[in-house]
Amino acid sequence: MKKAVLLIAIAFVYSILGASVSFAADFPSRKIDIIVPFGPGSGTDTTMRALAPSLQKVLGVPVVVQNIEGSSGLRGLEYASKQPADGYTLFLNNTTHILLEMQNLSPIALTQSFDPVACVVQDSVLFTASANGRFKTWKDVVAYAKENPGKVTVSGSSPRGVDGVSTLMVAKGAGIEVTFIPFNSGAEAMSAILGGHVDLGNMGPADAMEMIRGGEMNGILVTSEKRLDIFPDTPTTYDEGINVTAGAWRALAVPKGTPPEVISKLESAIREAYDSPEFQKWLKDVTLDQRPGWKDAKGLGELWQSELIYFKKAFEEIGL
Amino acid sequence: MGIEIIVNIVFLLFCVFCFIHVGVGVQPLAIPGALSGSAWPRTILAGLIVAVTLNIYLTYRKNHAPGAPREIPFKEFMPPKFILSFVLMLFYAIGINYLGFIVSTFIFITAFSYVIGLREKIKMIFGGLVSTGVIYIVFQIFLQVMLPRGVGIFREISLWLELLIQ
Amino acid sequence: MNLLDLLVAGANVVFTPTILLFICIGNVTGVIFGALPGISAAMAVALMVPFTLTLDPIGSIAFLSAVYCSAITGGGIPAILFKIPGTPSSAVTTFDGFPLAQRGQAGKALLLVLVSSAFGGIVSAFAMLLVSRQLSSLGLQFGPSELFAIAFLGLSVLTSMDEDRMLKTVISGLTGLLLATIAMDPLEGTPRLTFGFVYLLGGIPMIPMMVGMFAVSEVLKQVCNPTEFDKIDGGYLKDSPMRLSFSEWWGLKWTMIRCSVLGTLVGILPGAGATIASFLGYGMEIKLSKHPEEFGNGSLTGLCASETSNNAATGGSMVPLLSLGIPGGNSAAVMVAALMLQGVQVGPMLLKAQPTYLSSVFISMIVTNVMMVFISIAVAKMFSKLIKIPYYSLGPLIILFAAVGSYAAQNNTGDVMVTMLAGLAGYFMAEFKYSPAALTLGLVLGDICENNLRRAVMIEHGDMLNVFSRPITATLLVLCVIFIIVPIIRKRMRDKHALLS
Repeated sequence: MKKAVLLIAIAFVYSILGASVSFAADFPSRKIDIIVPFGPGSGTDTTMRALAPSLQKVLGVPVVVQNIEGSSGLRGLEYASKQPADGYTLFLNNTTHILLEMQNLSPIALTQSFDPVACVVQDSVLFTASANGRFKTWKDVVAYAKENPGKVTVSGSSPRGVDGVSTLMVAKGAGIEVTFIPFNSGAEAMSAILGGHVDLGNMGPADAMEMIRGGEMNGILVTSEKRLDIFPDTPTTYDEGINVTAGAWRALAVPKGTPPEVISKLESAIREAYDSPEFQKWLKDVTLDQRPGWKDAKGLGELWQSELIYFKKAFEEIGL
Repeated sequence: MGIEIIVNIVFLLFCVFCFIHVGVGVQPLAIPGALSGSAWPRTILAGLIVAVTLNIYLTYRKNHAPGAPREIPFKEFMPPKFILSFVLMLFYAIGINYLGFIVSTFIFITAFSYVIGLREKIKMIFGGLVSTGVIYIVFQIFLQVMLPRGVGIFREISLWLELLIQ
Repeated sequence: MNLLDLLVAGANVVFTPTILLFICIGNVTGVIFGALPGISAAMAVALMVPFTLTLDPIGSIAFLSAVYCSAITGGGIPAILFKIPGTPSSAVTTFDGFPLAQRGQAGKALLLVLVSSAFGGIVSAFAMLLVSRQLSSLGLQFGPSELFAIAFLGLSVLTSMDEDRMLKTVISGLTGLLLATIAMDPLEGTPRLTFGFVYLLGGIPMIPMMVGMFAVSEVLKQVCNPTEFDKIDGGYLKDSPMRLSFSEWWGLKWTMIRCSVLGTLVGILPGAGATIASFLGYGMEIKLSKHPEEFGNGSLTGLCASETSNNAATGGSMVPLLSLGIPGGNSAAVMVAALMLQGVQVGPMLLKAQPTYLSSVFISMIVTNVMMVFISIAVAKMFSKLIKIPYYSLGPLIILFAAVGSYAAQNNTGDVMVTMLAGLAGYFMAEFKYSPAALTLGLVLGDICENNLRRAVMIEHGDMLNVFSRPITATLLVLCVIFIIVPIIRKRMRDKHALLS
């Protein structure tokens, strides 16, 4: 009797182990998790939820978005890095993680513990002002700020995040001093602008688009080389003589050590999902990808390195 | 000295420590007059230090006044049942990371029922199985919450279960 | 479009078989999700978003607002029966709901909670329909300094919560405020009081703390001093009729009206939602009550205040969402994402192009607020059967629910540890009569208070006097001072009186 139980137990364990060993040739054979280190409803989360159905169609297995939020994106980073490197766990990363890596807030660093797969979207940064506010164009802002250093207020979400850094870089490039006021959420920042409590806002064009269309806000500066199609009247930083580009990108990575065949399979699948008409239409509707951000695995790796260098330099320049 | 006073004193020391610690490594202010990162916590801590000190004094006076309530001895305050339950809870919180949800929950429920007083083995195991099962169904399947998978073989078991349900 | 046409158009959207079916399902799932501890209303809405992909955008929002309203209501069920807040907005409901249940009056408490919720929800729905534009302009007037004043007003309740143990309550409240500061400093971007723990960078999470301090500590208390549950009739609801006398209802009329208005106004402010509304409503009622000592011991007024305010916040948070595209709370933010997935962008143009959004949400909320009362009664009856389980099985089950609920909020096992530790802390605090409620108050309001004060000072470029002299801020702060000092004076006079007699 005891022997039979032992045999059954061994068979049980074996079948489980057998089912879970993933050969690259069979990849993918079960559900894939995309770990999003931010909460449901955030821009990054929504982007992945829009991509997931197309990706599911391409790969033929369920693709599920899991939110593991906390500690400004670190918690998701740490969790994903501990998953086995078999390609079944994708990790969504963005500029925030490069910044976190630079500040050494966690023993796990993005570029050290993950292999890049693909970069999906690239955003730019738009500076906006309330339609009833005291500044109508960027030139007004610069003129006022030169007379009153520090009196111009710009809202955003984190002082050491993309918005804080880009605000300070742009201000430095224009030779003025502004005060950056971080808020807990985009909604609060937006209210503060509309209510006249702060002068300018630093946000993604997608967030501002409806406000501008509705006449409540004006876009006064965008940080990219070319003007954006949706805002042809908004000058770029280069137009105004400030050579700064900034913007958040969103990319997918896998834990370090994932077999290269698996990575390239994922890469081409994501490319296909990205190109799918549904996703492209969605991107256009929400205007998320103004500087077409697609990058393959190699491109993403280079992006990581260049961002690290860029932000290190930026931090030194603005004295953080 | 009563337990309450001891806890208060420990807390007071903690507050003083935090007060000093918070001021370490504070950035120079970009805006003159703005509140630095340590201003608010220090105000709170200052208030706490004053309040806790006052509290220690008043409690001491109350405990030593005539007609004061009897002091509860430590053993009665924290009976072994209590300590055991709490240790179990800690093990659960830590174990869930390594053993995964299913295994650690089953162990927890069974053991906790035993500690509180259940002695019939069948009821204990049945209760453990049913609780684990119900929660698993409600949270993992119904609500699509990814319950902890654990590491190693436990992870494989959890994944296998999730595969079954797909 | 005049109002009548608008309502007809909205009715056309809602009263179709598909949408009605979805609203029914939304109600049931909303109440159940809300009743499951740790699943907040925003999570409930987020979980229902995948189901909206088959609906058109207007229908989706009508459906999701139904889920939202019923989830906020559902949270009160376990709050009364088990002292576990089903959603953070029902934390205050535990203060008076659970004592009532312990006295065998769970049925009364439940009926009151449901009717108050419906009242608050309906009033805020009307406000949303009729005065959206005025309300959103009013909301925009509230900048950082005004938000600080409101949060501080909420904190000024500390001195009234337990007038005989003011010092201990203040200590708890200050501790809560201290705990709220442990995080990455949002205005500087540097860690503060985290002592190197990466977990603490995100701050001490609210739900695990609440669930731990109330529910888990209660279980620990039972382990030490088991109450004879069989002596209190097993079948809380069977022996507790769901009825309140007419005079009881009539006595609550002002509370319901006041709290509906307060809840709606608080809901409009981004960054303050149902949870803050319930705390502020409770605080307001303590201040205005002739019997503040009843609060925390099963006061009907306190219970009513909490649940009216948190449901009134639902309509309030839809106001800026629909008129400006700015979500007034977490659940509204999820609705923004749901619309985004359908390719619809929210903004000031939304209502101008499609005013039907407003009326369909209105009608959906009215239908929901009525439907959810009945659904909640059924769900509550289901839950109350759980009480019949003997405690050696029920206790572990409660802790399990608490643990998994805390985990589910952020998929973070560290939260489970927080729940357990909070349980221990809550037990000690309850034993020594330091109010855990005060700590929760500090924890919830600390963030808003501090960050907005610092923002206000930054905006005024360091000039604190300018911050405090803004009209709304100044009025609110004067009220705060009065609220803080009056109970202290009252107590002094009472003690003197007692000494003389």
